Amino acid sequence: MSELALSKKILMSVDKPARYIGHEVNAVYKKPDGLIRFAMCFPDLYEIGMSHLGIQILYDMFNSYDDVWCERVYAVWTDLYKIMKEERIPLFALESQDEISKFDFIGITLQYEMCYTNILQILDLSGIPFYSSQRDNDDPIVICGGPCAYNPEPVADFFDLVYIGEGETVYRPLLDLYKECRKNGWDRKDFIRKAGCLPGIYAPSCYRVSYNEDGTLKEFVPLYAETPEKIEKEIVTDLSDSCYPLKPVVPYIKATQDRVVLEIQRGCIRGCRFCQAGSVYKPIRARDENKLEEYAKSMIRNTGHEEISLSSLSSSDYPELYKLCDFLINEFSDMHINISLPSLRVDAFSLDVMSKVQDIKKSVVTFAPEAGSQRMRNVINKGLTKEDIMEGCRKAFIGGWTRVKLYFMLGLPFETEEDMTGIAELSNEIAKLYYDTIPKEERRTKVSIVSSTSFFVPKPFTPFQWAKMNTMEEFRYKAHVVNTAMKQQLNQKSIKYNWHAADVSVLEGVFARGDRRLSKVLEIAYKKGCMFDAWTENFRFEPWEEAFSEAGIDPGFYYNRERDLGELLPWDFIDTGVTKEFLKREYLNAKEGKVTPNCREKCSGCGVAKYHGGVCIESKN
Amino acid sequence: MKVRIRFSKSGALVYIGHLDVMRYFQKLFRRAQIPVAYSEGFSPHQILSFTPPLPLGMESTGEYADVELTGTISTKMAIETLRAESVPEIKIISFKELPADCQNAMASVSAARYNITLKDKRILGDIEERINNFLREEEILITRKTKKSEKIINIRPLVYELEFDKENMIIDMLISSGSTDNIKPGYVLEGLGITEDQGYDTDLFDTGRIDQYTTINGSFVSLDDLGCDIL
Repeated sequence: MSELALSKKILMSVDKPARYIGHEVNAVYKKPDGLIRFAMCFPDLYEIGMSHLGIQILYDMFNSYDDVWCERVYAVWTDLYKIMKEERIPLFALESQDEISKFDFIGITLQYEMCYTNILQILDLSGIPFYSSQRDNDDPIVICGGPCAYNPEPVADFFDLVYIGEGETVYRPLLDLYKECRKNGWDRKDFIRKAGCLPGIYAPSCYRVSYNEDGTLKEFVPLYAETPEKIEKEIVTDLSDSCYPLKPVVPYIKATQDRVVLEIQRGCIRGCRFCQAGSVYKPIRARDENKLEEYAKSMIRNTGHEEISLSSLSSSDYPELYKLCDFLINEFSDMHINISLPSLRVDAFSLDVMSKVQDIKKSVVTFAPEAGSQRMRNVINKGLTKEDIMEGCRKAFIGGWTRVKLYFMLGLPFETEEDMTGIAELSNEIAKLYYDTIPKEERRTKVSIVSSTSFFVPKPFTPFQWAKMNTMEEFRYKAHVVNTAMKQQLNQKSIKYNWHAADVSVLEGVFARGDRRLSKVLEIAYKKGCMFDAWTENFRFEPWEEAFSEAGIDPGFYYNRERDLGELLPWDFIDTGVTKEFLKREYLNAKEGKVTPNCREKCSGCGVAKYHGGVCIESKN
Repeated sequence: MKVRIRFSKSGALVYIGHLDVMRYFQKLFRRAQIPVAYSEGFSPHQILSFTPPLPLGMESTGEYADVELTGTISTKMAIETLRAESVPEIKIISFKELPADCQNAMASVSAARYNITLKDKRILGDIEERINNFLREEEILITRKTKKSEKIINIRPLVYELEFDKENMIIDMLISSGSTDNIKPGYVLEGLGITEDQGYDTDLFDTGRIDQYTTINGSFVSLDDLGCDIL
C-alpha cells in the first residue's frame, strides 16, 4: 500500500479528507513497472465523480488490460486547493498517490460545461501547461471525452486529443499506437498526429480554423493530408457484448449515487428536440435482460450496496422492463435492498412497481412535461399529452400518492406568454384533480405540487442548435410571469414554484455552442479564481463578466444569436450519424408544432441507421 | 444471537469518520453474507451498535461493533470471510457470541486505553516527573470546551493508569470513557502541561486507542473478553 501524498496535518485540516486517500473497496492496485499509467479524471468533487457510471466502466475496462494501470483523479475542493497551491504540492492519483504529471495519459471527462474551469485546476495543480501547444515530450497526453466532447471547441486548445463517442471502442487501438510510438523514439507531436487518424479520435492541433469578419466560422480544415475532415462518433453496436464494471469502487463517504447502477440501455427513441443526449446517443440499444440479472446479482455481492438503480434516458422504453423489475423485486426484497427506478413514465405499471419498492407516503411522483401548453410540448416533440399527465396523476392519487414534482423549461424556441402561464395552469389543474379524485374523508393530507423551471440552453446536434437563447433579463421576466400566474391559481397554496439561476444558464449557453476563441476566457476566469462553477455556493458571475471583456469576447454572439441554417458551425466536423438535414427538418417541424413519431413507431430517417445497431435493426431481425 | 466484533483501524482509514465506518460495516456484512438481523418497519436497518466514535486521524486496535444475527456462523468462518471482504486497514480481530443479557458496546464502555507516541524529543525531558506529579495530585482541573459550553472538570479521578515507556517514547493511559465522565487523551496532555489546547498536534504526537473496557465488579474488563468464540 502506498503512502499518502498529503501529510496528516493537511488531511486533518481539510473538509472530508476521505476524498483524497483512495484505498476503497474494489479500487485497483497494480505494480506500476512497465505499465501505461492512465489518470482517469472527473473534474469535479470526489462525491460527484464517484457517482458517475461512465468512469466506472472505463476504469474497469482499462484495468482489465495487463499493460495499463488506470487510477482516479478528481478536482480538489477549494480548501485543499489553496494549501496545494501555497505549498506547491502536485496533484496526485488516488490509488498510487503518485503525481499525475508523470503519467502517460490524463483522461478528463466533460459531463457539463460548468466544470470547464476545473480542467484548468487539474492541469495547474499538476504543473502541466494549459495549452496543448505548450507541452513538451515529458508531459502526459491529455485527452477528453464525454457528452461535452460533442462540441469540444471551447476547450479544444487544452487537449491533445478528444475522444468522440462511447469510450469502450477505440482506447485499445489508441494505447497500442502509443506503445508503438514509445518504442520508436517518442515524439508527442507525431503521436498526436497519428492518433488523430484513428476512428473517433480528434486531434485539435491538426486543424486550421479561421473566422469571417462577422465572427462566424469561415474554415475548419485539416492541416495534413491523412487527417480526416470529419470525425465519426464511436458507438458500441451491441451493448450486451461490451464490458460492464461488476466490481465498481465503493466509496467510504456518501457519494451522490451510493448504489449499484444498472445501465439497461443507451440512447433514446423519443427525439425530444431540446435534448442532446437523446440525439448523440442514438440509436437506442438495450442490454440483454438475462445478463442484467446476472450483473445485478454480482454487483450487489461485490459492493454490499443496499440499493440498486436502473439507468437509462427513459426506462419505460426498455422492452423487458416488467420482467427485469419482477426479477429485482423477487431477488432482492428479502435482502433489504431498495430498488429505485428513475426516468419512468408514470402509468399503471410504473405506479404498481413503485408501490412495491417505495413507501408511498414518502415518495414523490415525478413528471417532466417540460412545457406548460400542448402546443409547446409539440414544438419540442415531447410526445406527452395532457391526458397522459392527468391520467398518470389520477392513478397516482388513487394509489395513495399526494406529492407530485413537475419539471418545465422556460425560454424554449417559439415560446409565447400562454406557454409560460400554461405552466401555472397545468400545476393548478393537477392540484384540482387531486381534490376532485379523492373524496374529502379519504384525504390523508393536502396535495403538494412542486413545479420547477430551468432555463433552456440550446445544444449542438439538436434541432435547436440554430436557435437564439434568451438573455438573463428575458429569463427573469419569464420566471416572473410564471410566478405571477402561479399566485393567481385557485390552488396556489398547494403549489410551490422554483426556478433556476439565470446567470449560470447563460454561461452554459455560451460554452455549449462556443468555438476555440473561448479558451482564452476560461483561462482568464480560472486565473480570477473561478472553479466549481456548478456549485451555487461557489459561483460568482462578476469574474466571468470581466473575463469576457478582457478577452474581448461578446458572450451574446454565442448564446443570444440565431444561426443561419447555412452557417458553418464549430461542431460540424463531427458526424454523430444524425444528419444536419434531419436536424433542419426537425427545426422546421418545431416551428410548425409538428410532432415526429418516435423510433419504434416509425423511422424518420435521421441517419443513424448506418450504425446497424439497436432499434434501427430491431424490426429487421 | 448477539455477536461482538473487535476490529482495528489503521493507515489511510484513520481519515474515515464514524458514520462512514458504520456504513462501511453495513456494506461489509452484505458482501460477506453475514446473516444480520434487520429492524422492523418500512425502512429496516441492520441491528448494529458501535463503541464511541474514534476521533478522526487516530488509529485503534480496540474498536467494537455489536450486531444481531438471524442465524449462526462460526467464529473461524466469519473472520475468514469478513477479512476477505474488508480492506486491510480495517481488520477483524475477533467475532464472539455475547451472553443474552450483555449490554451493548456503546452503553457498556467505561474506560479506554490510549497510547500517545511522542515524536519530538524536546518534550521528553521532564515527562516522568510530570507524570509523577500528576499522579500525586488529587485534583487536576481542566476546562472542557464543547461547541456550546465550557465547563471545569477534575480529570484526576478519571485517569486510572498513567505510565511512560521511555524506550518507545509512549505515554500509556487508561482513562474514563463512555457516556458519563468521558474524557479525551488530550485532556491528560493538558493536565500534564504538555499541550494547552487539548488538541493533538500531529507533528508532536501520534495517538492511538488500544482497547476499550467495561466495569465488572469494580475492575476493568476488555469488551473483547465478554463473549465466547462460536464453534
